[in-house]
Amino acid sequence: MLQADSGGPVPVPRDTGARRISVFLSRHPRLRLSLLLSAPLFWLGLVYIVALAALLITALWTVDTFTGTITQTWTLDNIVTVLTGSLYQTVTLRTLGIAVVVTVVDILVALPIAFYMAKVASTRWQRVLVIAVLMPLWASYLVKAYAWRSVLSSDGIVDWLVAPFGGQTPGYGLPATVITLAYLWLPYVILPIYAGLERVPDSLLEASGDLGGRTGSTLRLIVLPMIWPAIIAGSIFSFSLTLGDYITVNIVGGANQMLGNLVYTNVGAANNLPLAAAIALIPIVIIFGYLAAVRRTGALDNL
Amino acid sequence: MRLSRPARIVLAVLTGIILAVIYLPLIVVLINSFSTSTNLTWPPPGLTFEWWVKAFHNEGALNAIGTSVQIAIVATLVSLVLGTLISLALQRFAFFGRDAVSLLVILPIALPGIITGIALNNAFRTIMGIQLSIATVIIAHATFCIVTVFNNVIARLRRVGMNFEEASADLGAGLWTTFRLVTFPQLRSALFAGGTSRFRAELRRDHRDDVHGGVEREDPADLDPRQPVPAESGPDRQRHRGCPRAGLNRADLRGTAPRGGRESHPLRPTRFSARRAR
Repeated sequence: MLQADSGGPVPVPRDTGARRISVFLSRHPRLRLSLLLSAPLFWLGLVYIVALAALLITALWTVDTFTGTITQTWTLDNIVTVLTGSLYQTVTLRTLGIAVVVTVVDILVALPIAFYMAKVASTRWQRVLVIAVLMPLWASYLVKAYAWRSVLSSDGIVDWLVAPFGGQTPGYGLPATVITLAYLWLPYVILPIYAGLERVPDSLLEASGDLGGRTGSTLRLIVLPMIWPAIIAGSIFSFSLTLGDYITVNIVGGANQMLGNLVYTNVGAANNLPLAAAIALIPIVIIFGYLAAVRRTGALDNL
Repeated sequence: MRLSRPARIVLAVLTGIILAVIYLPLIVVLINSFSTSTNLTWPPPGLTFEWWVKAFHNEGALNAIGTSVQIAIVATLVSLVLGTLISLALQRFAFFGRDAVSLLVILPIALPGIITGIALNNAFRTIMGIQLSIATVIIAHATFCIVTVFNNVIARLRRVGMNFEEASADLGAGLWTTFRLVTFPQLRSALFAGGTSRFRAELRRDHRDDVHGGVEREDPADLDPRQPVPAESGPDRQRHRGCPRAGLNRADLRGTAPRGGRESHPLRPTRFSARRAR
């Protein structure tokens, strides 16, 4: 008020073209919104949605067995094959099982370390630990998968460590696949849970303690409901990344196949893109079901 | 709830064990890179620099680093622009279809990579008739990366609110001036966080490349995996620094003094307010 009264003309901004556009835009929020949205939606729509839709359509076509080219005759054969073939059912169940186990393992491992990082460690250690958790992301996926191949091999470090106690390495197979995948996705699960725990105010925990809540009931009744969306967000990462994986299982999984392998073989060696597209529908349906189920927890804002 | 001392110790020990397991395979790889054995036996029978010398003289590996960096830079830039635009739209506006748009942004990471990979492969080759090349790899990576930038930027936008922007508009700044002098400085560290984590993801060759563009074959990250990670890269770390507003928020929680660095406050009296006061 004082400033306004203290005299002196308030300078009027110069009336330039940019000024007029700016004024026009600030009076038309809808236009501003459409300008903001147009480029990203154009990109995502063109590159992504069109590609996905095309993939779904391709699933309804067939491959000419003689020429190896795709013929555009409409048929449900691929979908029927995928739904009824025992190979596809077994592999789907196996992949789902691996994805669930990997996700559970990751959450169980991530909870204590994330809790220590967010609520126990000093601010300085917090930073150190976040960097320590993030560092492995700089190393390549392949390097880490082959690292586990070497660690779990019959003359690897695990065998060397447990041999004196009469144990032996689990070798290559489904357990090795679960271990490796859980290892690979662990940072993706730790970080959202850590971020979720950081958002839990310490005062709530103290209030719960003051009101007589034991550690167990505080964790169960206060902390868990608050970080639930973050846990779900982490699980989306590990679940979906596992559903699509096909490299780890090749490296440490022995002869086992996952859905990704079937898709990849059909795109590559078998040259049957329509069948690959039909197989790809399985994880798409699973993921959409999962997203729909967890949508109301608010997990999607925690990714 | 007050954690007892034993509980804290148990948590610390668990954290230590988990970190040890996280680093064990990486250390094994590092040690194996000096091993004289070619089939990864443990413990290594002897030590040698042979493999490192070979790697540094491998033209394929060196070329691949160049290719990866090129892809990383372009894809990061594209996704920074698109991710910022879309997070501004989703955070500052309420509109019909907002949920659908936010699902659309998340979808590329929620759906398994191989599906996006073959979808794009199919779209490029069968539908558009384009040969797979570095350009298609860039397009695919940029699509995956939008969401990371989006997450970082929208978290920051939520935290800083609109007060400064409104103040700036009240003081007579146009939209572009407000963005340049108020919004962008507040977003800078979030953009950095989003950008570096994307850049990092680009540098790892992962399985999407198998599907859409067999350009790179060796993995350059093998050679240089140990660059320091900025503390900013965590989804929520960025609130600790860079943005003075965030300092204020944090101060509310932790009782520390707000850090208004001289050069960093976006709304220290600038020409708008100064002009008015004259």
